[in-house]
Amino acid sequence: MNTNNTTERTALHQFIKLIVTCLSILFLLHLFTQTKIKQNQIAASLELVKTLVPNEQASLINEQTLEALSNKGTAHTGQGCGKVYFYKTQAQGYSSQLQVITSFQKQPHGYKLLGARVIPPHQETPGLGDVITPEVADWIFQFDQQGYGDHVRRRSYDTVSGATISTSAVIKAVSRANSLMNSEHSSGGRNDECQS
Amino acid sequence: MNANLKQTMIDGLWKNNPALIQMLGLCPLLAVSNNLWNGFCLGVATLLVLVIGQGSISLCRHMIAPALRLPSYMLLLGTATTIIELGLQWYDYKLYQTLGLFIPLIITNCMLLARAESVASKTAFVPTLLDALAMGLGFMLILIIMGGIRQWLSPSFSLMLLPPGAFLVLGLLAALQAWIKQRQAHKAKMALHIPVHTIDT
Repeated sequence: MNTNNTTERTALHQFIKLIVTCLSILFLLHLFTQTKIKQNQIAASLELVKTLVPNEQASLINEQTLEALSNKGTAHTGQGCGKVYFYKTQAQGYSSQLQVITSFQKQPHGYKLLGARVIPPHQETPGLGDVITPEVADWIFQFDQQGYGDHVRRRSYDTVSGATISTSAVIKAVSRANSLMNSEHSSGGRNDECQS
Repeated sequence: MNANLKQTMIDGLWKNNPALIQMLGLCPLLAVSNNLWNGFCLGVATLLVLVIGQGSISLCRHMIAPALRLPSYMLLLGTATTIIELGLQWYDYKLYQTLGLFIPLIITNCMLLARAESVASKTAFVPTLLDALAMGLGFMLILIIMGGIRQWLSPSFSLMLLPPGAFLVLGLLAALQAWIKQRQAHKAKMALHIPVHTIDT
């Protein structure tokens, strides 16, 4: 009985030692990789946002844009007529809350929808729901350079069969961004700085 | 030693292939093999987790009590998976985003626990590493072949992109391997028989 107890205790001790060793290895690794991973994340988000503006404005995107987007849900770059507005909106997808960045640009009359991207990582079904990312399918590009005027009509965009919930969630998020854009920057359809 | 190495490699890659013969780790195999590159990346990640995880289990095998062996294996394998996940985020964040959920899910690959239980817990460090390497390579090979086939066929045959397509390809591969094995066995038998036959006549 007594020997049984002691073997059990040593086994438990060994197990706890193992847990502590594993946790400390992971903690050290975390400390070591932390800064680089953070940098990588920022670089990846910058690259994502840069695909949403005209090429000549890509250099204007910086960490402040990202910060404003994550804190206030909206950001803008550029001046006057070429000014670009970003909105971060959410919608419930099939298995995750999808976060979408949408960008708009001022036009002589109203606004133009420049494009939309889903912020990774999303958890939609691989092989079906992941058509919402540009790496997998062209579906997300249907928002590019679209929607002159002042509203994105949900029905004017196609969902994908097999991924109905994921794709309609993205459309919903984009149309939410569009209503925000409308309510915050509506100027009666005319933008005077853009008149030549 | 050399013959041993060869035997282990043949075992992992062909005779006892984790995917085709043992039918282990099918969840990630079916989910990620929709194109060549994803298959290759997950294959490398699984190989690394296998080598690190089995290696550490083999090193700790004397201090793990039989009653606590499963939690201990899971702990060590989980640590190995997290190391690979952090390493991938550190090395190539884009790739990490593409593979996404499947890197942490390597831990659910039952091949890991099966190898821990049947090999790493009873075998010295170096043979365990070789076994992990062979099994990992075998798994990677199937991932790559399936990824290639599915990517090649999917433009004309969209079923190939979906899980049922993966099942079909895996089933056909397993059947092909069984057929080749049978033919080899048959040939070997014939080779044994022919001399006897010639003596007879």
